[in-house]
Amino acid sequence: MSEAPDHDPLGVSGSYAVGAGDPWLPEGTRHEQPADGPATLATVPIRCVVNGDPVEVPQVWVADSLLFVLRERLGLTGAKDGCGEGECGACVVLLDGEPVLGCLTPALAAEGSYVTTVEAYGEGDEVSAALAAHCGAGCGYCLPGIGLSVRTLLARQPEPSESAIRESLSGHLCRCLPPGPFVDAVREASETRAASGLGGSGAHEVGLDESQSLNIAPNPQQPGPPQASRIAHQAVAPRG
Amino acid sequence: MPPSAPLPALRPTGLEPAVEALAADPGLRVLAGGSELMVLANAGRLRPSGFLLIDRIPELRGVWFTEQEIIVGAATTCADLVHADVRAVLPALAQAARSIGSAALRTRATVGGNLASGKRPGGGPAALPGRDLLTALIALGAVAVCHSMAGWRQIQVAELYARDGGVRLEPGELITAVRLPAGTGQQGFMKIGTRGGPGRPVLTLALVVDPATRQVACALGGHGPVAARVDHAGVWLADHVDWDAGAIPDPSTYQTFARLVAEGLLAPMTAGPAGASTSRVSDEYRRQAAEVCARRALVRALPPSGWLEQVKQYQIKAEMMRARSALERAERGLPSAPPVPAAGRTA
Ligand SMILES: Cc1cc2nc3c(=O)[nH]c(=O)nc-3n(C[C@H](O)[C@H](O)[C@H](O)COP(=O)(O)OP(=O)(O)OC[C@H]3O[C@@H](n4cnc5c(N)ncnc54)[C@H](O)[C@@H]3O)c2cc1C
Ligand code: FES
Ligand code: FES
Repeated sequence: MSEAPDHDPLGVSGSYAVGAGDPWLPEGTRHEQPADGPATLATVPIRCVVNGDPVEVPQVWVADSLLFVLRERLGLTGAKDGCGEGECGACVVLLDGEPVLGCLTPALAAEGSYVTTVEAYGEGDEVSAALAAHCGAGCGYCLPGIGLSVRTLLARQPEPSESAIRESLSGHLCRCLPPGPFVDAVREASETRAASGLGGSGAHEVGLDESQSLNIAPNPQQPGPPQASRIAHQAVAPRG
Repeated sequence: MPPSAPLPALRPTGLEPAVEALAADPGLRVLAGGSELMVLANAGRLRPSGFLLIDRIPELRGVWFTEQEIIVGAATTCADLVHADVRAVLPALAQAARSIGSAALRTRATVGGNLASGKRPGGGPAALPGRDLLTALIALGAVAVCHSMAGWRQIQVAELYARDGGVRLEPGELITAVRLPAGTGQQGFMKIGTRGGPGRPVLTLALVVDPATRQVACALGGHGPVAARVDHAGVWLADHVDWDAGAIPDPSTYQTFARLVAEGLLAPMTAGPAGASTSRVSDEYRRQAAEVCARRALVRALPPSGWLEQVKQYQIKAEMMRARSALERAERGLPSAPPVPAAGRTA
């Protein structure tokens, strides 16, 4: 087997057959075989830092979503699989501090990056507390995604206007509650933070405020916050 | 020795390796943000043998401000375009970007993906292509820059599409950037969807006024897979503006312009065969929507009087931006040259 070219940071792990013998693929639920598709799925190993812990996930199908890997491979079920088509926002997680739709972000894109899910926030988190207080009457399905969007908003605008709050909520569908309680919750979280002197810089957030440069081409060497050891992009050894 | 099996995933950090990889393996699918491709993959309708990720190529992401033009890298995200700097000099593009999906979608959805979304010529029926940026880019007179092993190709963005709405990219070709003439901020973008929140349009409209050349460009989109300019309305309007005084003397100009724009919906569009429209509303609704959008966009871009001062402000802003952007690029070690052929680069 030849060496992988040096611009192949993901390495090559080969492929696995679809259907029988899959170690983890729930049969018939996803990835149905299109008639004209190849019989095997191309896979790669993914390494990233999830909620501060470095993880390596072997055999990730190239088109597996980050949401699928978080939920089904890593057992982190905080982010929800609502629609799988970008409409509902239940799957929002942070990728290098930016909110992304877990369902439409290929897991590949998390290679060498920091991923933050709702599980990173423990007891006493003011956003969780405010959402619980104001939106507790609902089922809670939408809250993990909303929470992460709200934390991003507060990191950038510690005292957001009502229109900014509504805009940040607008990509999230909630089937239980109207927007009002969410707006109230964001206000309360913002006030609690101000009172506790936090000023909106939560531990896991990297805020990008408007005054910051537009030239945000990611620097592959250091995209994430320095809270755990980084996995270099280029350092994944090719397999096979 | 060539690899024995095609590589399932590549994430090059330079443009040339990306183009080489595409040429070597035609089965590779370009993936920028993935907001279109992943919807297909999740639904079991796409099973790529491999992805070429272009989200870590520094020269593809960012905006270059030069004297004559503004160059937007193809992997620049919609969230990048909402930035205050872009809002200041390309408000139509910034507003179009902001209308796309939700904030969490915009952090990944890219300019190149927006242009290249939808089917290829002769391909099957398109899922609704998301091409809202195209409306703004057409009005702005954007040129798409494409690159493959065969070389560079630069064409007007509207020319990227076949009559049936398919994207005319050669095999192995990447969109690397769009080039826009540096104009002023007398611009606007309007979008009417089926609901108040983010979502697909029933109509998009972009209006771009250039007081320097005294020209007005207007484009309509959302009614079909490809947006199109409504030239007759722009030409008519240019004659009814008092450019020296910075005023529109006759108040009825706004309504007449709006009516002319809406007539553009009836003209044979580049949108392709009848029925190709993504219509979810009646023709009459769309016609009225076009009128309202055109009138509002014009009132905002060129109020009845007093916009000469604005034009000056925009020029000063653009000047500052150029200086700051070049400085920051140097400071942060970002590529100083945009992803366009060397001959066309301006210092
Ligand atoms: C919930 C939702 C809402 C949406 N709302 C809107 C909307 O309001 N308006 C709108 O316009 N769109 C909308 N879209 C569509 C989509 O998000 C946009 O078109 C987006 O800009 C696509 O960019 P991407 O980088 O994610 O594309 P990808 O999915 O990465 O790619 C799309 C296509 O373009 C090709 N491609 C990507 N980059 C290049 C390149 N540089 N050169 C050559 N080919 C390339 C890919 O191979 C693929 O065929 C929406 C999508 C979703 C899921
Ligand atoms: S599951 Fe991702 S947006 Fe609905
Ligand atoms: S609380 Fe039930 S979906 Fe929002």
